[in-house]
Amino acid sequence: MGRVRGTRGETAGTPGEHHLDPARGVLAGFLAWVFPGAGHFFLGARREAVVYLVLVLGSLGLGVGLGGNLAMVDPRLPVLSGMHVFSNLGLGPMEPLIRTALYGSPAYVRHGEAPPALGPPPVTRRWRRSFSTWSGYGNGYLTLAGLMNLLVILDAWDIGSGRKRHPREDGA
Amino acid sequence: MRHLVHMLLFATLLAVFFATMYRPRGARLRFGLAVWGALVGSALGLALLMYPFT
Repeated sequence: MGRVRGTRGETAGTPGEHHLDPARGVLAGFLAWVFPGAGHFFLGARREAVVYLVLVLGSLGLGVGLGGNLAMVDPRLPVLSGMHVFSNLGLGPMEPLIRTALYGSPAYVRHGEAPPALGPPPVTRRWRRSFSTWSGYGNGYLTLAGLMNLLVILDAWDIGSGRKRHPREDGA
Repeated sequence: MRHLVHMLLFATLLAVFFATMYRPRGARLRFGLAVWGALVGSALGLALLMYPFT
């Protein structure tokens, strides 16, 4: 355990093998979840960190700017809507803050039906937003931002734990 | 027209993202262009296929 065949071969031990460092991987993944790009910055992959930061925040900004909605769990489609909410949660701690800013409270479950039978205030605000012309595109960008950051978290985890080569080892 | 712009922008974001994640670094540009071309090409191809039914 903790020792696998790899491609780096720069550590002590049998050539072609390197140590896994799960704790470093978890820390990098956690940092990536806390803020987009922070995990790669921690690992020294600063160019990648900046690109991920710009892509995730850019996509998030486009989503909010176009009137997109963060997903809510719909009791009629709990699995699909739950997966959608999970993709949003990839944005990390900023997600509930954005949700609160959009809906007035960190609402994760949709109560009530579509208009005119509007539910409590958060849902009312959500439905009002969903009527804007470009909100469908905004939803796409918001989902993209969360999914991209989920992949960034996994990438940071892999690089930090030693399962994936560090970008610098590939050369410029 | 704005629909096309958003499609191109969406494809660009995804292509840059996957290219950044790609290894080795030297092949990123080519991979990114391939991803972008596949996304845009497939979207336009599907649109053309569906056009007679509009």
